[in-house]
Amino acid sequence: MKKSFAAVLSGVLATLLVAGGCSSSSPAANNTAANSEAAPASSAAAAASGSKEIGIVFTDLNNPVFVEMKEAMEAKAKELGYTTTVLNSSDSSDTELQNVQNLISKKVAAICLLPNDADSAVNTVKAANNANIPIVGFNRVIDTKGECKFVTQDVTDNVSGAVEAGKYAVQLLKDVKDPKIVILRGTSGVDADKQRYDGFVQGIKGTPLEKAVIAQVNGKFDTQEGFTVMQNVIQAQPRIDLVYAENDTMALGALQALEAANRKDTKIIGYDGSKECVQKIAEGKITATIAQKFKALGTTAVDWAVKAAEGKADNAPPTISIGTELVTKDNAQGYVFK
Amino acid sequence: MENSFNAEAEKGRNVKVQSVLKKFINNDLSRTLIIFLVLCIALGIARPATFLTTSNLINVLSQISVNGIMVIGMTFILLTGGIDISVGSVAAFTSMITAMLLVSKNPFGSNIVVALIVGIGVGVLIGALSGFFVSKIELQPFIVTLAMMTIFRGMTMVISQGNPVSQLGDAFSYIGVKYLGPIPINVVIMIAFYALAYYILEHTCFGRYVYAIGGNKEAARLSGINTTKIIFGIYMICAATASIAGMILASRVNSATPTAGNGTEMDAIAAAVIGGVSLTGGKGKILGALIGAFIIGVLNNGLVLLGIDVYWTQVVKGVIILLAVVADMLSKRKAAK
Repeated sequence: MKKSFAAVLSGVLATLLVAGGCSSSSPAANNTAANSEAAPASSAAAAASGSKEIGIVFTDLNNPVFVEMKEAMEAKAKELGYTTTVLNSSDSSDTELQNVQNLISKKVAAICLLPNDADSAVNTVKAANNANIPIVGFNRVIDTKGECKFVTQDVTDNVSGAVEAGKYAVQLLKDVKDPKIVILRGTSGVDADKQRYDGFVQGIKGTPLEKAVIAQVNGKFDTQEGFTVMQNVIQAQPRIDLVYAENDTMALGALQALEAANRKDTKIIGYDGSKECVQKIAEGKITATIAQKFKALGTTAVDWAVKAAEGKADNAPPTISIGTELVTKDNAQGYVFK
Repeated sequence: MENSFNAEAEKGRNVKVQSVLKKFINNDLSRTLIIFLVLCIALGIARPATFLTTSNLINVLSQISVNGIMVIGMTFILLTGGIDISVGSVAAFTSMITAMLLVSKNPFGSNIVVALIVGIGVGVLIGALSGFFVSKIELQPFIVTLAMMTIFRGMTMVISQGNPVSQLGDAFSYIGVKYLGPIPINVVIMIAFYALAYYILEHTCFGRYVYAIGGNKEAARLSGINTTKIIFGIYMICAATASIAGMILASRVNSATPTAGNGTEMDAIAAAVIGGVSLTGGKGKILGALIGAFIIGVLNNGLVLLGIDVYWTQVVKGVIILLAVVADMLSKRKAAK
């Protein structure tokens, strides 16, 4: 018994010490941080402690575009001379709060946050505010309700992107008699769902497509879910001319369902501009997508985070809107992700 | 003659000391405690400037409280050889009910005491339902609670229509956000419940019967223990602790979300198992489960402070859980020999 117990102890110790050794930030940096002089401005308090680390919190890392963002953000931070700690909130607001609290304990210079949901994030952002650590929001804008403060928040202009999708749909189906459109919605309650739906509806308003939406189903922004609900719709509808999916992961699920049912004439428009989706567009399997400039969303956030850490962010705009780009077969080949 | 007598006495004392030491290390509880202390010391050495600060330690305690309270109810059930994977859904459903009452314009409903009682009361009813299916209909606990988990996650979506409910008021924030002196109130609640659970399990008939059922359910029933009543009771206790955990969760972020509590059943089970509670029932101490919850909480915090790559965190956590469980298994086997 003593042997196995000792084995466990050594196992735990070894795991931690190896992990500690392999980590990006060294204990030395944390200790010297405490010794440097303090600067007068409160926004520079964290930077004054000498930390050259940015904390980045993602609501989840399942979506491949989030992974692309993460890589772009890590590279940008490195370019500016900072290391990063990336954390995953696993779609839980409480985990998100824990993540930010742990980053505060880690005394990072600034935090970039992709919030899980707007209401729960307020307390989390407040925690960073109370610790004098500047925090930048990215990819989703939340209403601070005057209770918490972001340096800035950047987000894709989802509505204008969806309007463009609607207008493109009109072009696409202009020669189709009695067109039928299915909309694959994302998780309800998320801003992106509302914006991408409203924009699309706006784009088809006043056109023959205005009354063409025959079904709306909830794919929860997930491939498997998108596949399943699409299968059900296919059973119910003998002809579908266009599927508008509120994100690429659902578009891919819909594609699988349509291929399985041998529905070759159904066109698909996605949203996000993920690598896989753009590849399918180049292959002609998906018709188009509204590509977000994910790397720009991430790197802009990192840019402002670093500026704030160095006390240079006094003129930051409250929100930054980043545009989208329509990707079709014409420009899918060799498309450069922005 | 005297010398050999003294030598004998000396040997006898040494053997006694050795056996006390052996007993200490053989004791599951002390082993779990030692693992926890080793973890803290290792982190204290690796990251003194960030781990050992008051604010970090208080944050960690606060973060542990949600899982810590859920583990209490889970332990009662595990001790009887059962399991309850619906705790996450119960937490979400009951906290959503309480939240909706708090923000409603109804003067009776939006009273904090009423809202809490209704929420936790609904939780207890759900527990009674599970208890009914397990004890009277004699269905497998895993299946029953799997069904409950699905039903009540769905119900949470139904009543909230997928939207979070927030701005829950100052009174509600006491549970998750406010302090009693230097200690967060949710930690005080957690400690109070552990004290209560300890008393019940160690010093009441109910507690003894729980262990008896876990040891051998049939034998317990034959010896006159009302197993039906006890099982009803533990599922109600588990649902109650899940509801309270859900309230704390919602209070911390000032919002009840439909996806709250996802995966918390796994953390609760892991904490109990690390703490020496056997999945087959009849073995384990509530204090061990508490230490197990502490170990998981400190681990979560430590992994961030150590800067471990986000993808590796899951792996490291899983490995440590595996090591703890294997060590426990090996020691049980040695003891059985």
